[in-house]
Amino acid sequence: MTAYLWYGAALLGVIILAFALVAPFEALKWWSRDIDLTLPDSPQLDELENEDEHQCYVVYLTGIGGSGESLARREFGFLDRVKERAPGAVIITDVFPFSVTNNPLTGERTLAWFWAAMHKARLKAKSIFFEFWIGARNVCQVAVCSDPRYGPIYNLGIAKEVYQALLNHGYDPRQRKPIYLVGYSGGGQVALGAACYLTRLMSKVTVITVGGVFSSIPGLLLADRVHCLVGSRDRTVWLGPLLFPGRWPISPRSAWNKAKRRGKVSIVNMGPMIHSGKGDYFTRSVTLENGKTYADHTADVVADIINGER
Amino acid sequence: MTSNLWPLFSGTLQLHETTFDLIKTRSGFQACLALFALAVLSKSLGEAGILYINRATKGQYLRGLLGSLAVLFFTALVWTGCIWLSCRYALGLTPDYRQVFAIVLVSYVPLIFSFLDIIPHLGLVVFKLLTIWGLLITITGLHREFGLTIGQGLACSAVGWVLFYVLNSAFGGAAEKVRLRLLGRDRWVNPKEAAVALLERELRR
Repeated sequence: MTAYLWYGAALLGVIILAFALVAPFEALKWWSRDIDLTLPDSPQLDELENEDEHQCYVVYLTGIGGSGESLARREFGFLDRVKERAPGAVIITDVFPFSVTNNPLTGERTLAWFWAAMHKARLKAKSIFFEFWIGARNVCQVAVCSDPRYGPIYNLGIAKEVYQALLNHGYDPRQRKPIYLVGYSGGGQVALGAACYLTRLMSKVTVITVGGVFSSIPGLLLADRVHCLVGSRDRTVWLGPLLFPGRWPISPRSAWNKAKRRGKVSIVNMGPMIHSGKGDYFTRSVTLENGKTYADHTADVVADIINGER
Repeated sequence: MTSNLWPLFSGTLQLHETTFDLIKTRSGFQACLALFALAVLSKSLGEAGILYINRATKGQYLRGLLGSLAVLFFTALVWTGCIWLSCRYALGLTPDYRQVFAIVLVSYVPLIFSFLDIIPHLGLVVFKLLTIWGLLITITGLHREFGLTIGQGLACSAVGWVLFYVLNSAFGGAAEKVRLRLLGRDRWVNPKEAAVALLERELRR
C-alpha cells in the first residue's frame, strides 16, 4: 500500500514537473512564431456612442481556478454588484489571464480534451482532484508572468488581449477614460503584468487585487494606484510575500517596496474572509458583523475605488 | 564505461567519498566524461528558452551546444589549474593534475539537472543550487584524494572562483561577443525592450 502511495506521489511529481517545464512555451511560441500586435484602428470620433455613459472600463481577470470557458457564478454575481454600484463602468470579462493569446483551456490546444474533461468533472463532482489540474496549470502561468525572463513577453501578450477587449467594448484611447484591472488571486499578478504595458496608454490605469498573489513587478510602480484587498483569514495571499524575494523588506529597491514608499499601494482589510470557498470574497451566504454579505462588502470596496471614494 | 555511469552519478550526487575511486580507472574517467557531456546537453536545454525567444534555427542551436561544451570544458581546465596551483604553492602538495581535473569534471555532474532552469521562476534558483552542489562535490573530492580539510578545499576552490570573477569582468563581454558571432548574431534580443518597442510602434499607428 505504502509503495503504491510512493509511486502515485512520484507520478504526480513528474506530471507537475512536466507542466512546469512546458509552461513558458505557449508564450515563447507566440513571441517567436505567431506574434501579431496589429490592432484594429481606433473608432472614428463621430462613430462613438454612449460617450458620456461609459465613464470607465473595468477588466476582470479571474483566479487560477479559471478554465477560460466562463467565469464562476459567484464571480458573475460579484461583478453584477459592482455594476449596480458603479453604473458608468463597462465590465469586461472576456480575457482569460492564463493564456497569452486569450485561448481558453478548452480552446484550440493539444490538451483541450483533457481540460474539457477536467472542467466538466469538477462541475459535476466538485472534487479538489479535478480542480487541482487546472489550478496547477494556471499557477505555472502565473510563474511565467512573474519570471523576469518570460514575464515581459507574457505580459505583452496579455496587455494586447486586454487592449483588444477594451477596444471591442468601445474604449477609445483618445478619450483617456480610466481603466481598472481587477485581478482575483493569481489574476492579480497578471493584472500587474498587463499594467506594465497598458500604462503606456494615456488613460489612468489602476490595479485592484482581490486576494492577489503577486510578485514585485514593475507594474506596481507604473500603475496609478494599486489596491490590495486582503481577508484576514486568507492564508493564500501570504504566498506572495513569502515566495517572492522582491516583496521581502530586505529588498528596499524592489518595485514593491518602492511603490509602498511612494504611497502607490494601499492594503484594504476585508475582514475575516478566506481565499476560496465558503467565506471568500464573493460569498453571499456569510455576513460581516454589520450584516453585510462578503460579496456586497467586496463589491462596495471595489465600487468605492472606481467611484473615486477611496 | 556504461556500468560505471550509474554508480558515479548517484554516488557523486550523494557526496560519497568512495565514488572518487571510480574515476581513477580508465572506464570510470570515460563515464565521467560522458556525464559531463550530458550536463552540457542539459544546460543547453535549459537555455532553450532564450534561443526560442531569439528565433534560433536548429543549426544555431547546435552551434550554441558546441559553444557551451567548449566554454564548460575550458572553464573546467582553468578551474583545475587554479586548484592545482593553490594546492602546490599554498599547501605544499603535489597533486596529479589529471586527478584534480577528474574531480572538477565530476563536480559538473549536478548540472545534469540544469535543464530545470527553464522552469518559470523556480529555475532562477535551480542553477545557483546546482553550482553550490558542485562546489560541495569538489570539496569532498579534494578531501578524499588529497586529505584537504573543508576549509582548505573551499579556499582552493575559492581561488578559482575569484580568478573567474576577474577574468569574466575583463573578458566576459568579449567572450559573449564571440559566442554570439558563433550563433550568427550581434546581440541577444532583450524581450522587455523589444516588447515595449513593438507596442509603442502599434500605439503610434
